Amino acid sequence: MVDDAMKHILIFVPVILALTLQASAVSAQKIPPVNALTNSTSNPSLSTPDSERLAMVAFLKRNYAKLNNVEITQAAAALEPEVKIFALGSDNETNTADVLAIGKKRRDAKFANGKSFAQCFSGGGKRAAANYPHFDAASNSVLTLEAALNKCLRTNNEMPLLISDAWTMGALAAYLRSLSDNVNLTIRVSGAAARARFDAGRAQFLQRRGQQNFACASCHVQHAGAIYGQSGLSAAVGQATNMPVLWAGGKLRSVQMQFQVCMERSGALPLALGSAAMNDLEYYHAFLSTGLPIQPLSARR
Amino acid sequence: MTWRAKIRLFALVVCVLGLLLKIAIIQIATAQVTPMQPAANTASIAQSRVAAGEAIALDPGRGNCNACHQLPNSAKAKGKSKIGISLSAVRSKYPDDKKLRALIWDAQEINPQTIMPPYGKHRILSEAEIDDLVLWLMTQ
Repeated sequence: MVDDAMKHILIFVPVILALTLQASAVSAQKIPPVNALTNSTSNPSLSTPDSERLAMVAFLKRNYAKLNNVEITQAAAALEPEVKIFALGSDNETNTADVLAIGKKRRDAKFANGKSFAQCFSGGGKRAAANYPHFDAASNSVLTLEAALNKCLRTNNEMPLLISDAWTMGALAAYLRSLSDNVNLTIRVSGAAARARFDAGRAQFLQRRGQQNFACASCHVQHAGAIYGQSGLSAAVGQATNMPVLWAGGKLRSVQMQFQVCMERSGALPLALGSAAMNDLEYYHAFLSTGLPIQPLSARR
Repeated sequence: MTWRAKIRLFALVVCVLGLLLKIAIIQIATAQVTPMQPAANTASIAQSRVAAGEAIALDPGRGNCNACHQLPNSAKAKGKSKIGISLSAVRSKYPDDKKLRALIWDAQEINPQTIMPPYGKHRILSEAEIDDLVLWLMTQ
């Protein structure tokens, strides 16, 4: 009798399995990438990173006639006056000074072996940040400023800092960046290996993600200068000169943390800080701002 | 009780639990469908669904339409974005409500470059919510 009952009940097992599989198939659906103006396979004139960058600048200027170079470096959106206020508004200078003071203290601190960051960064890091991130041939990967600082700590037998910690690594990186204020960001992509990281970064930049299905390019290239909800969409070109960002209330976010905010907003699980994919994205993104002056850290609303 | 009987009993329990789970899944899946009461006043039901559609459009956690579209005929809409078209005289822009529904369900199917989220395909809204949204849009 038990066997008979079992037969009846067992009929439901495949049904339950089918239902579960159906649910997982929906979440695993592959989302196609945005076909943006950066597609070098369909447009041979975009075959070098520099021509690609110039095409993007030209696109932004054509679409947003009022966008001038100054506004681009401010990462300001051009069209709407309301957007400008968001992009350029800054307050709370005390916060800015505090962050830089914490960073300087850490930069100056002596390691247990008597050395300091001056060992790894000539001139104590003056003008160094303008060349980060860069392609590191030895590790065949992108080296961010944060990773370079941690590399220096490891070389000197010091504990590396958590790249997610705004008040240690965040402040230190912000201070290093401040030593390159108004220096032109200079990101180089030379050689096939570097080009591969650049291309991987572009793929991340164009990848639509999450429930909302946004790519970085959707908002910050296609619709740069427009209002989304209550805030403005800054142009991708120029953003890297404004990193890290110190938000009102003292929240300091590195460029990768800003990427994470956007990914979350798109309903996606953000890429991990310092992961290869995230570093590639930072490399591509920084390259778009090559030649533009690094902006001083300022608190924003 | 023999070990054979014990295994059978265990399998039975697992199956019953699976059955209950299946019932729960079906209930959750069908819960969002607004039941149509045959005896109820159809005019007031239609009205409440239009109102529900407006609430969905304005809710930043659901439609969030006002983030990209201006809604000139909605008193509660404050957004000034021009990313999407202004949602007024929608019936003249989309005479076929099926086409409008398909656009909301997955706009990328119609325009691969669009940044409009695929509300149906990615289950941002339920099918019933999309129906209500279309009902409201057609009154705009």
